[in-house]
Amino acid sequence: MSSSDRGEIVLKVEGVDARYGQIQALRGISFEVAAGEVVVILGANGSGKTTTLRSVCNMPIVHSTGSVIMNGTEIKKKDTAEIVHMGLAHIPQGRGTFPELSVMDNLEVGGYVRKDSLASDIEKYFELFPRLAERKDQLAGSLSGGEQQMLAVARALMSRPKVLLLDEPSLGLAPLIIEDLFRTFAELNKTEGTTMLIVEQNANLALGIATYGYVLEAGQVVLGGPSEQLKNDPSIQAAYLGA
Amino acid sequence: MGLLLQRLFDGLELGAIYAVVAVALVLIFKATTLINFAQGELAMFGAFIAYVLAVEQGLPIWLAIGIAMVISSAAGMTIERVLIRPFDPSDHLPVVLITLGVFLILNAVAGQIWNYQPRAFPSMFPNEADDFIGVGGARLFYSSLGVWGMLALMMTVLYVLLNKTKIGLAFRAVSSNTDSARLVGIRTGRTLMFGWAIACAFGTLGASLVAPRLFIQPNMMAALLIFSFSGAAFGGLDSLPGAVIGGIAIGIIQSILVGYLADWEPLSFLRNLGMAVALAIILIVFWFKPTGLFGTARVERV
Repeated sequence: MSSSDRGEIVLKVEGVDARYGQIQALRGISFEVAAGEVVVILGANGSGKTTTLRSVCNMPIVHSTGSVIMNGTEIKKKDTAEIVHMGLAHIPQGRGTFPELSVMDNLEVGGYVRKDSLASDIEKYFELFPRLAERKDQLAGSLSGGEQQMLAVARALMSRPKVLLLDEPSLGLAPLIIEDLFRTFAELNKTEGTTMLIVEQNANLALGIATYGYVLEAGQVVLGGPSEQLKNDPSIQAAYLGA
Repeated sequence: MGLLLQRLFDGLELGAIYAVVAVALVLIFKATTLINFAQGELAMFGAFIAYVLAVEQGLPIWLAIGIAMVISSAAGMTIERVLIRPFDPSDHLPVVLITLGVFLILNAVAGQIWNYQPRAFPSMFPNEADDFIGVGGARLFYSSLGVWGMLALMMTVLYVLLNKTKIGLAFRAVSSNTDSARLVGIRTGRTLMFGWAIACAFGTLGASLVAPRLFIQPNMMAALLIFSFSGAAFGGLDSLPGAVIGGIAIGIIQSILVGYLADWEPLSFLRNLGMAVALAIILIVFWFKPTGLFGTARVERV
């Protein structure tokens, strides 16, 4: 589990605690994400998956302490917007699009941190998700759940992130759409080299595209290892893979 | 026929002024879900600055109003930065109290400087008794045309700012979803400052448009603000076109409906209750359509 055989570490989370009011959601979690990896965090409902991602990008709803280092810079005290400018993108649960904005405006605002032209990227994601192209002038709030998830993914990628955080992208979607989406993630990781940190309940799918994984239980990391190793771990098979 | 037209022109002019102030209220509400109680007094203060520049310093009135709008924007940005931003935006009570405090302070300071005597305020448009066009027996004053022109100009500027500029896109994004806005790298504080700047500039314009009719004095905005707020609520509170239509509707209701109702002797007391009638009509609208005419019903999707 030493970091040396995983390559350059782009995200290093160390001893992070998090609370919502009186409720302690994370208890000193630590994990690492290396460049180009797809890392998955598995866990049941309420184990702290969403809080983990919120703590990494310092969203104001969660009070968290500890250390998060991205590409050598401590970001735990930085503003969410600042962290995004440093190359992180996050697709929150509930999709995080802008319901009162058109699909086109959603993509444009997704590229807010960039100074260069967005046209070629918008073209690219319209090709990847033809449904979005058909609905480019519709308000995002009028899209179906699957389409909103596509928009959320495209919106996040518009910023050309170095690190992409995904919060249960499979939640509430039809199985076929989920498979499509995960295929897209794997492809993006391969072609663009985007580093991804995914939290998921759907362990089968997530471990399928992940290089490395961690297991979260009651706010603590209880297990970590290459995804092949996790897939064969009897406790994981029993708890998450339904074997 | 002449009377109806006259009341229509009158209602449209009043309504356009309500619309200008309603748009300022809605801009802040959209972005923060907060009613800025200080909006009216900020506008009054801005109009006083225009008064000082025009009447005491002798600048042309349109230039004086322009400068006052710029000063109001700066004041609005300062208030956002110093008094609003340090507080948790999801906790409305402190922020509402702050805007109420700003309301009281500005009113008292204006009273101290300019006292409460109404003063004549110069109009941006030809405003003599014979500056009108006769239309079907009614008088269409140049100042009414001027007010409509200003409303159209303001809405055009606002449309371009919100839809064709990057800061405008950011403002719409913050209005739609503040958390997601942070996640695309928008600095929400700075974006809200932009909203305050525009709202305060438009407020000052609205007060300067109404001041030639009402005279200028520190309490001039009390009634105007209530009618404008009614217009904004009528239109849905989070819709800019709704604010314009709502504001104009209130002006017309006040002028035509209340006018005719009060012509009937048993209801003549309504002449002094225009505000109550306007509010009653809004309540009826809300009864049937709780989000106002153009408001969005927010549906949370998880």
